[in-house]
Amino acid sequence: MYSDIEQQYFLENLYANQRKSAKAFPQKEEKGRLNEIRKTINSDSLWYAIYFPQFKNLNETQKKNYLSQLAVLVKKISSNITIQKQAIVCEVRSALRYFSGIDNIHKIIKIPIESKLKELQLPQYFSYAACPTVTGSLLLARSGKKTLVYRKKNLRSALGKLPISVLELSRENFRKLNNMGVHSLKDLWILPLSGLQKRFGSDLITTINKALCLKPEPILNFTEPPNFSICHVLPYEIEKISQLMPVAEKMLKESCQFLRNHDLCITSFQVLLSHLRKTDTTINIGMRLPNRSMKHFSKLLRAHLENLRFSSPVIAVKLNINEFEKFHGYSEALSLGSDSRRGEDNSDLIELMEQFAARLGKDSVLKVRTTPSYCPELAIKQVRYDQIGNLKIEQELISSTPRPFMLLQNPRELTVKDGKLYNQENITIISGPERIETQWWNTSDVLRDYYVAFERNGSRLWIYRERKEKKKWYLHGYFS
Amino acid sequence: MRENTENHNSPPREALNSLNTAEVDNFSSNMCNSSIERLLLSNDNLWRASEIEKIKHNSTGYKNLDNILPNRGWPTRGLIEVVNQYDGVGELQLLIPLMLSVIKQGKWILWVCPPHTVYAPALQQAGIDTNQILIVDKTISCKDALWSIEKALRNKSCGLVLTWQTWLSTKVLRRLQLAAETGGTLGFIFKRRDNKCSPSNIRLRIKHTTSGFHDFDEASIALIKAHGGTQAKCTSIKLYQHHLQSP
Repeated sequence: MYSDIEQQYFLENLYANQRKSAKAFPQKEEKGRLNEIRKTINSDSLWYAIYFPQFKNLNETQKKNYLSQLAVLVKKISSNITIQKQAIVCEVRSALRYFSGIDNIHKIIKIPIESKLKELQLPQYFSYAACPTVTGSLLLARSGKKTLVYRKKNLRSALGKLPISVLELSRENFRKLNNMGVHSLKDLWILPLSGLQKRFGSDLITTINKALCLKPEPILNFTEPPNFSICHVLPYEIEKISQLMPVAEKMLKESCQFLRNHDLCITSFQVLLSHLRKTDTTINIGMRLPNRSMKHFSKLLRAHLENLRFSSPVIAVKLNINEFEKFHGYSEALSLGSDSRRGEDNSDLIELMEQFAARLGKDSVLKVRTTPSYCPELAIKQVRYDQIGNLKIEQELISSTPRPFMLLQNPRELTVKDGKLYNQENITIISGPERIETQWWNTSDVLRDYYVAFERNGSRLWIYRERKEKKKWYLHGYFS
Repeated sequence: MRENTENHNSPPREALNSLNTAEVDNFSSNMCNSSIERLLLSNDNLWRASEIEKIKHNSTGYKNLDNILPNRGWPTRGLIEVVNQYDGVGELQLLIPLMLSVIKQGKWILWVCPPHTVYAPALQQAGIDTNQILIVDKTISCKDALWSIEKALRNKSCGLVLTWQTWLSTKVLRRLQLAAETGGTLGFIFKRRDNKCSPSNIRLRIKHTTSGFHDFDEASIALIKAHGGTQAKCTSIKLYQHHLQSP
């Protein structure tokens, strides 16, 4: 701890040094800056940086994921954690007394970090350092020297020994500095700041100023990703869904309350039903749009449960939520015209489709699409309801000749008796032929003559005759 | 349990029986009328035939069909049974104008268990937007099919539910009809055979009349039963005017 006077002395000394080198500093401006800096320096903290050189070759998302997993471990010793490039930096001054010294702090986190790295299948080493600034500790940790700087006045000398490679400059800038004869940070101290800024940009100066505690360091605090998991052990064994639903609904209610409190919503959740001496039944429930409505969740769960056969009674119910999304509320439009209600209608329908998918299976709820093909059975595609968005109909694709509403999946062969066609009854052709020849590049080439016909019982049919091999007749569709 | 009380001056027997004997003794037309009024209001299952006009109706798009339907059109909600003994007798052609108006309202059409593949090019020829069409595959069980029909009928953004079923009990039909009425949705059931005690709003039979070249596009429609209608009627309409031209 040092007093204000000490601090002032330190700052003035610091600036006196700078003035020696950079004489072009106007006096007035300097005083203003000095006051400004003093304000920020009042905060008295010690930042402990843990640097992972092995993360260098990982991609950004992987790096972020690993660092946030490691940052959770550091939560034990500090509440102020920030994730930097390849490193985790946390504030430990407030914890020094509690853990009686920085060595103990290091011991506490060393083992969990190493075991976590082992779990992630990465080399188990990391370098660390501590000093009063975030950037400073990061630079020290990068150098690999396990340095501890307690006081701000020692920062300059401690950092000065570091090679300029710790600044992680671009290759070009690094080469330039080397050519100038600057090999360590202390060589930078004696250079005029304005000149440096002109040559290497403001980033370098900002880094140095932050490291030396001359500039405030805004940091983004690390917050643990939300995690929701509850387990309810049943007082008695349950076999019926009707008995299970109240318990599940209670848990869902809790989860919705959690989502509301954290301003989140989800697109999927998992329910585990534990059985005695048998493997758990897992129910994964997904939604098309993020949601946090208890009513919707319970509807979906009920639809899933109704389809389920329990192998043995349920003894416990677990609810897990792993992925969260930010909740985006929307305001409903004033229902002035009929158009303003369209959006509202759609959300209602999506809910219905999800219920269908939950009970009937995703592959049973379909949408139909046309594809540009001359072959009748290839001109249609049935796709899962959630796979594609809206498509515009191209007018050119619409055939000018009539097409039936219902197409038989497998064309039915027609019988020919006394030169007349029969399905169930006598068939009369009324128009045609429409010749379709396509797919010759495939093994199943299509050579057909299509006719519109009707059966005596009143059915309007779409029939065709093969133009290859046996020239058989087939029924392909109904003009329902 | 719906009672047709068309003639207000002569009260139905059931209503009279349930009246208090003391009231019957002091019979005066005024008092009787007011107690019947009260009885009618207190019981939700009783309604008057004159009330049916309050439900909105949409034109079917076929003039002859409009003429035989009570209130000249399809009701906006409820259950309609179409009996077609054979496939391809124009049962879907009949609904093209209705489907177009439903799509125009921004609502969806759900097809539950169609017997064959729904052929999208034909829908496009008729001008129906396939983006607002959803199909539930026929591979599902009958129980699941009924569940999905009921859910869809209760849903307000489904404008029309088309389904193909072989036989449904009166109880199931009544349940579906109630679902359609609460959801404000119109449901069509295509069946092979007629069920005489069905509670549906409208039951009609469609078949092809003759086997000549000239009347290929003609279909006959027989109205078996309709709420608010008094007698069975029959008419013939010209189908395929929307896309299929006869030679």
